[in-house]
Amino acid sequence: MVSIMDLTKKIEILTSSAKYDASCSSSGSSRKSGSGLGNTNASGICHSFTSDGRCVSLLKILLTNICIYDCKYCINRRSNNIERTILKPDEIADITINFYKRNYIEGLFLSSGIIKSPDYTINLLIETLTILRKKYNFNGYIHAKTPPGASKDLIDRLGLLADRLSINIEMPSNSTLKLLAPDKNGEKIFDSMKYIKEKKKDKKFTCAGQTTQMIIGASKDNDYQIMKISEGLYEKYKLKRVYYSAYIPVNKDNLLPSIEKPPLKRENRLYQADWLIRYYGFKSNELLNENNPNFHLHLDPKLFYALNNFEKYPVEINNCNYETLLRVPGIGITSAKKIISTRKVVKLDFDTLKRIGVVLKRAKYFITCNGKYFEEIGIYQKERIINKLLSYETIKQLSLFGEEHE
Amino acid sequence: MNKFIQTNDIYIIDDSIIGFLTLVHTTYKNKRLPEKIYDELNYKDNIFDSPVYIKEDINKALYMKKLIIAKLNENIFNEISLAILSNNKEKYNIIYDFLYNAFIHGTKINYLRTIKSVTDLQKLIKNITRESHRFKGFIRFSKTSENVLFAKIKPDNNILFLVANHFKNRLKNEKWCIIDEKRNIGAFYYNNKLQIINNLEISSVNISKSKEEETYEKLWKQFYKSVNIKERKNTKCMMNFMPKKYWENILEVKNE
Repeated sequence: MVSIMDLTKKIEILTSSAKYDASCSSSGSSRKSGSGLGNTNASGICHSFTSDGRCVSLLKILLTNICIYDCKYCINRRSNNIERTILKPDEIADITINFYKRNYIEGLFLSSGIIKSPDYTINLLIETLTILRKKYNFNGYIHAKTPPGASKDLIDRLGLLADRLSINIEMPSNSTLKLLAPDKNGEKIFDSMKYIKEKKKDKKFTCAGQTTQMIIGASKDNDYQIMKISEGLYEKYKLKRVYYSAYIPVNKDNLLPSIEKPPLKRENRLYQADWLIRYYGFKSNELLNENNPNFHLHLDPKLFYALNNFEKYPVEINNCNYETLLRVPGIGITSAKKIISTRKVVKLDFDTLKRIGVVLKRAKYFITCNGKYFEEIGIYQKERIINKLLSYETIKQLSLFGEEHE
Repeated sequence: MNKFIQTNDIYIIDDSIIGFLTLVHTTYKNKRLPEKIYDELNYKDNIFDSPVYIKEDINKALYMKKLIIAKLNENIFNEISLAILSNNKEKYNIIYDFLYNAFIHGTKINYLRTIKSVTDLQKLIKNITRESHRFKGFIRFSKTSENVLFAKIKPDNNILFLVANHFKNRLKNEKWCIIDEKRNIGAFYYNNKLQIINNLEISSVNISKSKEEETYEKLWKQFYKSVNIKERKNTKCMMNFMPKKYWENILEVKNE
């Protein structure tokens, strides 16, 4: 029996090491409770928020921070002289169940350093998840990190126990991966992703799909390269989400950039663009190109697109199609759907647009309503709009992490 | 539908779906459109008004319920019942105007967003479902010495029943209770049965925590502390998602 002191210390070490994984989503699964404990909520539930506004949904923890790898950017790399510890599978299961019953969490997000070998590590993860699912009859959400290079038959077992699996590709290009994570192998990572995608044909296997993460700003890769990779991951491997994690310098290394602050704004722009690709029908080469490979730090990607394609506007609210509505800055999916359903029975006016949630401050430059602009000005000039919007864009840009249920 | 006459009638009703439907029944029969509807809690007496108090009448309310479902549909009735959980002082005026327009325009009313009370009603509902969704996450149970999971909440809207239904599925083999301290109501779940109790005497609810409670509370607070990344601090963003008004019942952020 371990003392509380020991456990508190272990949680401190193993959570501090796990926190750089951006994902904490508990969505996409609808597991019923049956006769056991817990269920999952399809849209996910945030139980708390960290001081930077990230949603806390799962008990995000490492099984151990012992690691045989030496990835340059990682706090747990072999060459770092830090305190190492390990939690026993039944300890993790007990904490998860007791946190869950008190409604602290939606479930478990279990990751691990590579102890001894990928297969040895994945076996410990499997053991933990088996205790939760079989002994406690736990039907809450479980996200497990697949150790890169683990055997396929073991991935099979893990995938049947977890709602979601993820393998981080970490670096946006193979060359930087080789440089910064010399023990990891890009091909093997994509191999595992492909394997999970194939296995997912079995509905019980990772019902909430797989995700991955890229670290932003530890290498020289530009936004266009990053977005093209994400696009490929969504199309080719049917990933549910790609997470972007602003690089925080936890280690000193000649190969790593020395930066004062993590590139949070850039991270935010990538998330916004990612949403445009997944839900708004945009292609990465519409948002960026070789000559313009990075997002504007003061204009969100949709505004950036609209201003670069100014000749495609204004669009008439009362007759343009849904896809076109989605390309108007200030109109989101919910308001676009409301516009469509409303105008089937009545013509829309600006007052109604405002009441259904269209942000006219941005949208007004790009739309007409019954042939009229919002203001009397008539023809807007692009340069003036950019200036106006730039001053308005100091508006708070909320992190996308908390928008689980919106 | 025959047109109603515009009037200066002011009503005070009981704050419930029954109270509201009783008023709807009264005006449906006398064809007089009220100017203003208050519930008993937010009416302030003044010399200009002479309000009429309508006492709730279950038979009249049931009559109107049937009529709404027959002439419109069950979905619209459910929306009205949901909106009544709102803490918005104008809710009865909004719901009344919505319903009046629904009787004129029929079931397409939800798409007639050019009518203000239609979008206002949708806003009331969004606010309620959003708060109820938040509380599915923010509720913190602590285990009592009698093995009951116990939680207190102070939500803006009356969402107790909505969240209780969520926990009924999630914690079906446990014993638990959630108390709304603002409204003195409680949801009690034991032996697979959920019971809502009104007019609770909160002071009579005595709890002593179980022995293991200190352990898990401590571990949770440590977890919360460790999962924060100080380089990313953005308190404004955090407060947007987890407003301070809820903090007193959220273990990891409350002041002690």
